Amino acid sequence: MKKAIIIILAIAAFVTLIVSKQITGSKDAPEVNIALVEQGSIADSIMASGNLVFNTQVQLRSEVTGRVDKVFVEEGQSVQQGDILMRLDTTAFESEVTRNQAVLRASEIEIKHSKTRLVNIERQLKRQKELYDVGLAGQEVYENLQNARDLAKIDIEARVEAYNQAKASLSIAEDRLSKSVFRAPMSGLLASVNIKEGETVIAGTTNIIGSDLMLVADPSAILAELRVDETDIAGIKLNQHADIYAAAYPNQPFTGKVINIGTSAKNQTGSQGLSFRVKVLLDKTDRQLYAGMSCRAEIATSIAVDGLKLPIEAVQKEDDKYFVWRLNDDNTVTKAYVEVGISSDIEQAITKGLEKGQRIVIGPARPVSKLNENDLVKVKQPTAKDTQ
Amino acid sequence: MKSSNALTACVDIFISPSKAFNGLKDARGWSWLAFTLIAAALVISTYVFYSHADTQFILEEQIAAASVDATIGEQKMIRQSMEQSIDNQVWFAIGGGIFGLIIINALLAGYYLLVSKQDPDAEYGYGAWYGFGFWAMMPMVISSLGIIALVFTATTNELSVRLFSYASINQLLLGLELGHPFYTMMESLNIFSIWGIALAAIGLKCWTNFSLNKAILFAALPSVVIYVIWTIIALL
Repeated sequence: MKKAIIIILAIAAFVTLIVSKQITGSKDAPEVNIALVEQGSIADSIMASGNLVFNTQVQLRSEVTGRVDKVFVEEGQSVQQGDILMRLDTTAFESEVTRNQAVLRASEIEIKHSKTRLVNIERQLKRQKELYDVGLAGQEVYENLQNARDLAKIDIEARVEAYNQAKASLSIAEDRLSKSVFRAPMSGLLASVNIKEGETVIAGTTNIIGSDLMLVADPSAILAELRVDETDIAGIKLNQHADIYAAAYPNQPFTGKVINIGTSAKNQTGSQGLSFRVKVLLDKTDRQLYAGMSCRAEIATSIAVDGLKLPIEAVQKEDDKYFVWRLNDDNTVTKAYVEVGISSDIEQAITKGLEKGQRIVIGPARPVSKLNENDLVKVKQPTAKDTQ
Repeated sequence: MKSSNALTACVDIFISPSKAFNGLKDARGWSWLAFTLIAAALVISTYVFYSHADTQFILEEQIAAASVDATIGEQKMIRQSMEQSIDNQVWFAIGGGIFGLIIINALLAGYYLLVSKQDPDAEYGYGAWYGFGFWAMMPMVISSLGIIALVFTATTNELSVRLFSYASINQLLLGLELGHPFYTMMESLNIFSIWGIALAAIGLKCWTNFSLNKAILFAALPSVVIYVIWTIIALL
């Protein structure tokens, strides 16, 4: 009997323990944020990053190899087309020209010499013919002279060709001499000067790219060269508006238009993704921009004009259907299925299922994920419009 | 007096343990039933808990517990590693529980064998003491039933893993906060383990010629040693 009482007490204690430990969820209505369905336009945009470059720029490289004798300009200097920028040591090039001129003159002399010889042979031939006709000279002598005349004619032709050859060599030497002096190919700004007096420049060949000497650029027009991910490229069209955020002006975008879309995907350095090069021409600006600056861009790809819209976090997905939690007047929520239009990073256009001014639950995500039909909620931060 | 069969022993172990231990002396095979019951209760309670609980909630709780002193970078790493393993946690808990059960009982059986040498008449082998150990752990079945009852009657799915130690000294009496030096120790010490020590003491008395005091001493000694060492570590 006593044992039975102990057992009953133990069981009672255990049950009491379980009951006292009972786990209850928070009975309070969850606090949620709400937003109103608004009317307005949404711009869907694509983000890309890239660098600023000058619209027109010419990289100067050398076609000849030689030592730099004189550099006449400095980086950042403005130059006019045709201005002399730098000069190589011309001694060797000038000697080459002189040598070729001498070879040319020697060729001229040889032609004269050959012509004189031909005249002489023809005179002898004429005399021999007269003697031969009257039978005073042998046939063999006469024919030898004929032969010598033909050879002399051929010799003149060969000398003329040698002369042409020498003339061409002279042209090449003169060209090389002229290329040892570098002139500005266009008017603009010297964006970079990478060469100093005394250094040796190397001519570019098939496998070796020649020394970079200078970069002449037109600073009046600046481009943003963007790397657009291959998944986004279908949305990019010519003349689309883009906002460019340079690192130096993070909150004041520059505006521009898409002027060129790359036609082949390139491997992005540092990532495995492929991207296309898209060029955006920046509108004229008073703010100073420099080539090489990094920038990011928002390219507006499509715009939904004057539709209903919501913050994007309000819209949730259930299988293939989209829905939102609509807040009723009695602070209960109702699941409303909607059809969605385009979306930007922050907003979602609603084409069907809601009306302007309705209150929609937008967060926080955790309590929202647990909402059920007709649950009571507390509104955490009434929007400014809500309190009006 | 002794239990007549394994099933009655399973009831007797809770209401008159000496009967169960006396019966067990001649029928070692009963211990398989005890092991099966303990393991099944462990598996079912663990599975029920994890299938009802919100894994995201458990994840958040564990991250908060693991990253008390962590920097933001470390927290991120902890979160990543935990997110990867959260879905398999139930299987780790079940597998680890059963594995732990077998290992701890193996150690205890060795210990019981050693102390039984104090009594020259006791001639039980290692296997017998291994079975004995499971019978002394039978309160775990009640503990698991309590967990199942708590999970099924809970009105939320935000269940904390602390639920497993619902009968701990900490949750019943002390109420220490996470981070307190004695928190983990007091969470692990629970009334069912004390009950288990009592059962072991009764069992030792039945199986050997030890006095009651000696039986209690030998039954409690492993836990006492562990908790004393733990206390010293906690105080350092």
